[in-house]
Amino acid sequence: MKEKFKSKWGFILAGLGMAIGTGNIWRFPRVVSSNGGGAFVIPWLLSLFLWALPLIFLEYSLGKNLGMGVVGVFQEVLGKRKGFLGGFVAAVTAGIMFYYSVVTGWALFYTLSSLFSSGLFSNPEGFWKLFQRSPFPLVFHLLAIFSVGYIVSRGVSRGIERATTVMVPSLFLLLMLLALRVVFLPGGIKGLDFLFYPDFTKLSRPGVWIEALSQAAWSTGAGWGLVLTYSIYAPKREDGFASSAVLVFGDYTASLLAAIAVVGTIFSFTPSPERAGKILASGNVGLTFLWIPRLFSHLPLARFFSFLFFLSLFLAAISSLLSLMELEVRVFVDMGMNRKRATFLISAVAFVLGIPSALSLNFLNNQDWVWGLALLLNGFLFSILIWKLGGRFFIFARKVTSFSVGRYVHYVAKYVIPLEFAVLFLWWMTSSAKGKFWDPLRVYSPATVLFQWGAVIIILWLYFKFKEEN
Amino acid sequence: MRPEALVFMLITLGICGGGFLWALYHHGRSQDEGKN
Repeated sequence: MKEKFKSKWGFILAGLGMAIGTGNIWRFPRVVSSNGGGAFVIPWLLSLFLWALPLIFLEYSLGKNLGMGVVGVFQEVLGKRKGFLGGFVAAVTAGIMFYYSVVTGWALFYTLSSLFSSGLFSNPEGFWKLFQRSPFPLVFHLLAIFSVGYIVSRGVSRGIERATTVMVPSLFLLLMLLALRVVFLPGGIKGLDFLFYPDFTKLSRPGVWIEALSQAAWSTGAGWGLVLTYSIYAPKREDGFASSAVLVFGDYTASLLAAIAVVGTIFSFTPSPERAGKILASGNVGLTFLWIPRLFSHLPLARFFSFLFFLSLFLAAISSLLSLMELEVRVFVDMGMNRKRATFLISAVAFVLGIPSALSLNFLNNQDWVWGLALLLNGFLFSILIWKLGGRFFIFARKVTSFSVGRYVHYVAKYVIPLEFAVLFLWWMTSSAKGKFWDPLRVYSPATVLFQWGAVIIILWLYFKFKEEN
Repeated sequence: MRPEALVFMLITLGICGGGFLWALYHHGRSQDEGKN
C-alpha cells in the first residue's frame, strides 16, 4: 500500500517542520538587524515571490505528479543518465544532514543544561568550551541521528506525521510565548524599534539584496528537494499552491517571531544599540550559545525561559532533520530498498560522516559553507527541469491546484531563478576570494567549494554512467 | 518606538501573518470542498 499522510493537517505540519529550522531562530534575527531592519524586509519579501514560493510549488507539483524522490524525478524528466543531477541534490541534503545532526545535538544538550546546570548561566564561555572539549557533542549527535532514524523508520504517517503533529504546534506556541514576553520586558520595545526601523540607505548596497535572497533560500528549504519528497505522500484532496504558501508564509512568520524574541531580549539587557549590534554580529554560535544564556541569566525564571528557548531551537532542528533523513530514505526506497534497512543504513552513515563536525567547529563551518552555497545551485537545477518540461509543467500545475499560478511559476523558475543563481553565486565566490582562495583546505575558500562539489559530481556522474551501461 | 518602525512592523507582520492565515484558510477549504 502506498504511504500517505493520514490526517488533514499532517502534510502541512510536517512541511512547516521542514521549513522552520535553526536558520529562522539564529540566523534571521542577526541578518535583519544588520541589514537595514525594516528596509531589509523589502528585498526579503520580494525573495519570497521570486525564489521561495515558485520553487516550493515547482517541487510540490513534480513530487505529487511523478510520485518519485529527487533522483527518480530528474531521471524521468531529463533522462536516465542525468540522474546524477538529482543525485547531487540528494548529496547536498546529505552533506547538510551530517552536520545538522550535530547542531540538533547541541540544542538538545543546552535544553537539558538549562534545567540542570548552573555553569551555563554563570560562565557561558567556559561552559561552551568545556562542552566542545567533552564527548557530549558526539554522544548527542548519535542520539539525534538515531532518534530521527527511529521516527523515519516507522513510516510517514506513524513516524513523521505523529512526531511533527506534536513538535510544530509546540514550536509555534513557544516562539509566540517568547516574543510576547519580550514585548513586556523593560527595553524590549527598543529592540522592536531597532529591528523594524527602516534604514533605506542600506538598500543601495548589493550585499543587502543578496543576504535577503540567501535568507529566503536557506530558511524556507526551497530547492532542497524536501517538499518534493513530502509531496509524494500528500493527501489527494489538497491544493498544492495553498500548501506551498502555508509553508513559505509560515516560515517567514516564524522568523519574525524569533527575531522579536531574540532582538528584544538583547535590548532589554544592553545599554546601547552599538553594544546590541555587537552581540548580534557575534555569529550564529556566539549569539545562541554564548549570549542567550548570559542574557537570560538576568531574567527572573532564567532556567525556565532558557529551557523554552533551547527547546524551541531543538524542535525546529529535529523537525527539519526528519525531512532531510526522509529525502535520503526515499531515494533508496525508489531503488528498491526496504524502508527500515534504508533508514538504518543512512543513520549509521550520517553518524560516521558527522563525527568530524562533532569534533571540530572549523570542519562544521566548512561543511555549512560548502553545502549551504550548493543549495543555490540546487535551485538552479530545478529550473533546468522546467526548461525541459515545457508545456507539461502547466498540466502538472493544473492537476495540483485550482489557482491560476502556472504562468507565474513557469516564468520565474525559467528566467528569474537562473539569473538570481548566477548573481548570487558570482557574488559569494568573488567576495570570498581573498588571501589563499585557491587553497581547498581553508574553511571559507572558493576552492574548497569547487573541490567538494566537483568530487561529488564526478563520483555521481561515473556511477550513473556505469549503471546505465551495465 | 518611532512611527516608521511601528508602521514597518505592522506591514511586515500583516503580510507574513496575513499570508499565512490566507494560505491556511485556502488549504483547509480545498480539503473540505474536495478540489483536485
